[in-house]
Amino acid sequence: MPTEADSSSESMPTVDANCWIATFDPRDPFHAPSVAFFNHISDRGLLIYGPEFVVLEVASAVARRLRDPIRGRQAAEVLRTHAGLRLYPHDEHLMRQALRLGTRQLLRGADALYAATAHLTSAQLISWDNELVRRAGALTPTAWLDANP
Amino acid sequence: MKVTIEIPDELYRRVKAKSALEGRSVRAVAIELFERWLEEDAPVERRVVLPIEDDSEEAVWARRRATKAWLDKWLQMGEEAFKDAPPGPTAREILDADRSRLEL
Repeated sequence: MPTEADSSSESMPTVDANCWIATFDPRDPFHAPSVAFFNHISDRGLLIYGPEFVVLEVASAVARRLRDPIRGRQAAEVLRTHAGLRLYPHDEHLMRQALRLGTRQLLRGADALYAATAHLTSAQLISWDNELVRRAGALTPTAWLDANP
Repeated sequence: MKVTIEIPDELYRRVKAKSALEGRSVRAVAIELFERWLEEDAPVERRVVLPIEDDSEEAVWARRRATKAWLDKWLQMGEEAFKDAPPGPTAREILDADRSRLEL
């Protein structure tokens, strides 16, 4: 289980694909806290940021798990319709920031895109990924809920 | 380049202790802080232009309703999709494993 980082003010979060996926998969050990997190976001009417490829990551993981490309694509289509989700384009700005953060904090490439999106949007990064919590200051959904009761 | 600077003893003790806790050298921490400081002074790059959001009470309420409905749909889709799924790692674990293939 990832450790908790510092709390932050309640603001628009940047959310890792693993949180969307854990919410989608009822068998995931993090399903309940992920649902609670998205419920809270919804209750507050908050916006959510993500790099554009969050949709691809969610769809691919769903398709790979279910061995079903249709389910994966459906998940992508529905994810895109989330009224509060703002997808950050993979433009030069994002890539430059990802390069800066990724090399400085020794992040994996995909993780650097999330960290860069959070940085550029001044949003708290939310993830179930230990490495993002440890190296990029991400909060788990549970830690975020604790900090934003 | 080798540089020698004088800093207060107490400050250095705290820096040393925190560096040790994080398993980093004081040198690495100093370089990172210098880089950050220089970046702050760098010419402002094109700032992110985020779309202006309608934060009126009505808009927020509409978003609440829409995202609630969305979440219900997402959960229902997940239930249906995984109803007959064979046992195995969760989708999140698959994502995690994919990301960690070459983790150092």
